[in-house]
Amino acid sequence: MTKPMIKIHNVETDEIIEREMNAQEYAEHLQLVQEYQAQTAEAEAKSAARASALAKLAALGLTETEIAAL
Amino acid sequence: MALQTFTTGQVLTAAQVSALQANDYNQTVSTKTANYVLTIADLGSRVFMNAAGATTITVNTGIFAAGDTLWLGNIGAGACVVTAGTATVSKFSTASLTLSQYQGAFLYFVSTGVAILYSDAAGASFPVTTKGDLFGYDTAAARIPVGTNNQVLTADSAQALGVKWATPSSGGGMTLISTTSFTGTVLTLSSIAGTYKELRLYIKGLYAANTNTLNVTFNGDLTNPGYASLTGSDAMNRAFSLSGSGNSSMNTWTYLNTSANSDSFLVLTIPNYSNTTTMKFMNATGAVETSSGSYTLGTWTGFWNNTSAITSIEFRGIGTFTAGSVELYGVS
Repeated sequence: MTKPMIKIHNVETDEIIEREMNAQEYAEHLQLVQEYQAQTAEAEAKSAARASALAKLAALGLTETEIAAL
Repeated sequence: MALQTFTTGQVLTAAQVSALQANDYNQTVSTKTANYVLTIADLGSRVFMNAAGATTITVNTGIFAAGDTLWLGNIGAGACVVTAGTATVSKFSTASLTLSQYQGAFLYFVSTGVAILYSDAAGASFPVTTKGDLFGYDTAAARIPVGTNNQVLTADSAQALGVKWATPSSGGGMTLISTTSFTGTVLTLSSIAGTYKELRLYIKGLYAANTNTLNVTFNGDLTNPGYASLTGSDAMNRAFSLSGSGNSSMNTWTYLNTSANSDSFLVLTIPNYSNTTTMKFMNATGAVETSSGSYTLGTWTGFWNNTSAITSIEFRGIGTFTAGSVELYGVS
């Protein structure tokens, strides 16, 4: 399986190396991906819960101004 | 009037007396236009050099007697040097034997072979020759040639004249260290010199397909926990959202452009990045275009809880970077 690419720019020599991630780098990358996915899921769940709460408040007869005042 | 020799019993004529009287206030001028050797005939006259190039007036021994005097002058553009031929010509300590244009001197013979030059070229001839030259001094007056544009005069005891023209240090300026396009999933800027006070990074038009996120780490460190604070609107919170308990060193996700053609500009500032005694602080500000074409603005701060000097910066994406560039500047 092809691993993601990493680009290393030595700013002192201006040498640029582009290669696949090694095993350790790839493991670190996967960990970041997991964190991101967990964070995204949490944010999406929070957003969905908010939308649901707003819908329920509206169903109870509250106006948008009243909901915003909460 | 040339030197006169009178004999015992001689009766002076009115013309002779008048000529002698006139010699007190209107001496005969003997103008020379090339190198010249003084002769006894010059006594009682003024020897003036008038030449465009450099010339000499040579003083030899055995020509003049003790007490004899001569007026010398230079009206030409070329410097005229009163030169000791076979005689010794001394001068007042700060005077010069060189007569520049319109300078004069009084030559007094102490003996037939030793003369003293009393020159109005006090201190030296005027040494400056070119627009912008300065008058310097070491053991004598000397020229300090004008420097090049934007140089400043700097004291330097190692220089013969104690000063030199030098390019000022780049205090307060920004030096572009590198420009790198974003490709791959991780971009590392390595071997960053610790010679600046601050690092500043301009990230332009960064876009990563599918994920639109960016994580910044230093020296490859993913283990030291960091902390980031955030200011801005709800939209900004979404654009610059935080992960509260992860183990990334700068535990912040930053939304990037939402398409390869959208617009963004982020500025990352890392002051005191090369010190080895304290944690490292980072500040980021930017504007990012959203998928709807509006912009989110925000400021984000964080620190790296590590005392090592920052020598590399990693930009970690989730997807692949497909557009954008980063300019790394060192601020002095």
